[in-house]
Amino acid sequence: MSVSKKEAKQQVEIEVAEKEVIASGQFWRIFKRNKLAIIGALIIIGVVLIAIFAPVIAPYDPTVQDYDNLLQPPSLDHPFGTDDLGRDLFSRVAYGARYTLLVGIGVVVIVAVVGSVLGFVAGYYGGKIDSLIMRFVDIMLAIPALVLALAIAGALGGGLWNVIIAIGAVGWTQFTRIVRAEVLKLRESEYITAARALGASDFKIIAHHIAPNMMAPVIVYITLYVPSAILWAASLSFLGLGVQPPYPEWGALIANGRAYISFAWWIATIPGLAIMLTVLGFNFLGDGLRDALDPRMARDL
Amino acid sequence: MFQYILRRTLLIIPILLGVTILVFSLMHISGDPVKLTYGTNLTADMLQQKRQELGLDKPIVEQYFHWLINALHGDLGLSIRTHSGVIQLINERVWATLELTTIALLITLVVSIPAGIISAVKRYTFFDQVARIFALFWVSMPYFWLGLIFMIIFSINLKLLPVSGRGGAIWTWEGFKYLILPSLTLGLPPAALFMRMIRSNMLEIINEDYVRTARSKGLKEYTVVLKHAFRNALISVVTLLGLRIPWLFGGAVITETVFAWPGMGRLLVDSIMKRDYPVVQGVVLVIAILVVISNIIVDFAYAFLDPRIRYN
Repeated sequence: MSVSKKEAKQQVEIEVAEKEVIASGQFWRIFKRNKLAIIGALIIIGVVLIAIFAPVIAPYDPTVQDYDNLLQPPSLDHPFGTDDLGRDLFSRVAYGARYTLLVGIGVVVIVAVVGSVLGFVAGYYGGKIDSLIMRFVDIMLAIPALVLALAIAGALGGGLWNVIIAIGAVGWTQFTRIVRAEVLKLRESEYITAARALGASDFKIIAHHIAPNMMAPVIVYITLYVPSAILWAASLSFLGLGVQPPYPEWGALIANGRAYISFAWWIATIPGLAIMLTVLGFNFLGDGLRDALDPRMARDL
Repeated sequence: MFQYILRRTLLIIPILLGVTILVFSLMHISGDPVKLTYGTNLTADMLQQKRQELGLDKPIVEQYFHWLINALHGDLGLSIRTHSGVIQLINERVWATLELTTIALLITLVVSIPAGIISAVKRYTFFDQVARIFALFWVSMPYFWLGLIFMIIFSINLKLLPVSGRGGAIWTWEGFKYLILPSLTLGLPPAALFMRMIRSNMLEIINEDYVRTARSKGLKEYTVVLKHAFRNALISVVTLLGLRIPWLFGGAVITETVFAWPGMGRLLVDSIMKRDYPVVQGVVLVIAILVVISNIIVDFAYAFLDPRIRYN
């Protein structure tokens, strides 16, 4: 061999670095062009700010009941009206953003950690451990995710953390499949073979060569997974198995407003608009990221 | 083809076995159902007696095999709350769920296929842009909220359709009008997803050589679009259909709760709340069976549409 081991290694590293620079340059160019993605990012930043500064934004304490102002329609005093106990709906929706974002973040962390570890192990090592993990995924996928999440939330009891665990526990399956498929594809690529030939350890190959190349699909999938997590959490609360009243989670607010839809439409409809707007933000952003980071995936949807 | 069907059908046995183990263990980490049901009303001795009656004093593995053997004989046990047979409870409800999911699926396809084709053929026109943005809004709505909005508009304000419940057999107008809003609620959000899928697939196919060939030999445009392009786009529609079927049954749980539609979903939610674990186990098992069967049908449709799969 005319090229020394060190030179070959440097060559591989230079190529990888070049790819990353090109990718990041392209990323901003494509991302900036996508107006919907920018709108999505702005919506999400807005919701995050509302969640952080809820005590400043909210004109009233979200839990204080006011029996002189029951079921008031939206007005200047109460921009979103009041609920059946006279609580200010605008303040409740503002505080509710915290639950929604916590659920989104919490679920995504569980899904990303569990899904990556299992997907890596299944894809990289293959064999028996791979079949074991993938058969378990098949079993999980035979039960509708929402049904399984309901059963888990029911078994654990309600509350914010149990909702996050329940949704995270059903969400990792698809992600594991995606990570596994990517690892399988990368494992056979020439630069991995080269790294292995140079004597790199499994850990080094995974950390330095496979993981960086998987960031794009992972980020895209995770962004597009947040909406599902938010919608499922709201559904669990709506069905009475999630965040419990009096906490102003948006799904729980809708459930509470349901009894009054014939004469106080705002209680059920406005928190729903908040959910829709947040989810829309993540969908816009996810679509934009997908087009910018991974044009191959744009074909799939 | 026969071999493929056989192999595919046999694969469901281990999956369903896994489902039973999963659900069974899940229901037994949730605490003592007897205590939860009767806790405050009975003495410790009476609770113990209840546990014996229900077979809950035995080791969990023994309980599982006991349940499994009974299940194989078509006996899913008795509800802790109402003492009626779980099979009987499910049988009363499963048809309503199937009615809802079938009509919803039809709505999804009837809306999404024409919209997807038109969107692709008239790409970047006003229709296409509106349909695409509308679709994104549509997939961002929670089902239960959409249902409530429909209810507020069509039942409470316009008084066109009943608010909720069931009015009899669905092939009569009296019964069918109760199903309209629930099935729209369940069927429209996925239609947006299908539309986007059909659109992007059609766009890809329209640029293929064989479509150009079809055009250049003078075929009419609709023959080219429907016969050459759409038939090939159907393969991906069927794939998405397979992926969405669990969602359909999951969404039915919420939709049934919103509209008080007497299907399995409401039974499930009620039973989870009351920790009526024999009913929960039974309903989840039946839903899993429905999902697995639907997936097999989708796989066969797939093999039928795409000969490459049969030969692999």
